[in-house]
Amino acid sequence: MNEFLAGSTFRYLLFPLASAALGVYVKYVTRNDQFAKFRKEDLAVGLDLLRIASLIYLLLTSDRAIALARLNAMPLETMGADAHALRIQAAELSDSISMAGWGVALFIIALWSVSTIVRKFGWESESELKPVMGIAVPLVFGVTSLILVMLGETP
Amino acid sequence: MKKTRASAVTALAIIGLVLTGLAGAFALVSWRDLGLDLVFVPIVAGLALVVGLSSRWIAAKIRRLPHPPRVFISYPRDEASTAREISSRLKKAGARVWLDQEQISPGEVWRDAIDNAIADSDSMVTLVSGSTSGWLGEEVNKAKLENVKIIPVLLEHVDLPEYLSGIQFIDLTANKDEGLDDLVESST
Repeated sequence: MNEFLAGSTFRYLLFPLASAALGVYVKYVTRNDQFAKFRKEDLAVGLDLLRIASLIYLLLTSDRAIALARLNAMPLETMGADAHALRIQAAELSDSISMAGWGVALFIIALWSVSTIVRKFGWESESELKPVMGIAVPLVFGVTSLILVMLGETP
Repeated sequence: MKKTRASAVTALAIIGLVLTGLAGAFALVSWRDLGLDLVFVPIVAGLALVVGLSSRWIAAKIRRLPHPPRVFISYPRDEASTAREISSRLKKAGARVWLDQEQISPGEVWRDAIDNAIADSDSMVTLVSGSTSGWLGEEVNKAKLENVKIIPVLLEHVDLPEYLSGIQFIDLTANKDEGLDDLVESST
């Protein structure tokens, strides 16, 4: 089970797809108008996924910073033979953290851009979304960003 | 002035979209040592694109899955209490019932709310009495357009309006309880 959960198929295929499916289900069952049938607008969970990906990215960045702080606090004499490997690990963590500012900025730009595009070009009427600009584009950005965040965390 | 500002915002949004897309592609290229794992990106993005493009078709398929019957009740104003009674009988039988007095909230455009509810219904129970108004005809025509099953229910000894002719009705004037049972059976 652990192997499956840590495997690529789960992390990069099932996890993003299941997140999208769960988002659609929760959106459908929690809406106020229980009389209404399933609508294509219930599939519009791309922006939710993008938001989740950006929050996961923030959490992972904090985890990296904490891990780096721990490594730095480790006395040299306790590292022993692992010193070289630990230094490489610390360098990798530093690299990731140094890019985090750009990552956060890109997520903010992506969230703003995709939501603006949906608002400007995504609606065909007051309550109906267009399949391409309203549903497909945000969905592609949402699942892709979720996989990118997971890929960046690949050990 | 406002128009210029709106188009500048739109242009910025498009630039942002392209920029983040390029940044994602750059990240992928710089992680090319991940090898096979990168294959999942186009697969999942492609699936998301297909789902988005065929969202109308997917929604239609999901709507055909088994679900509690949805019943719209159309009635003349004078028969509001009978409509409530029928509504509670149908709800007890497991149906989801749309009754304007329960569903339309203040400030809502009632014409739109009614049109949407009819489109979402599986069947429409149409109460017919001496005080039946012209709105009923409009609702019945909308239901016909949306292929919603129409069940006329006769509350008084009157002729069915022309727009309901040819549709088998339930007569509540003879035996109300038996008629209500028939109604529950045919609409759930």
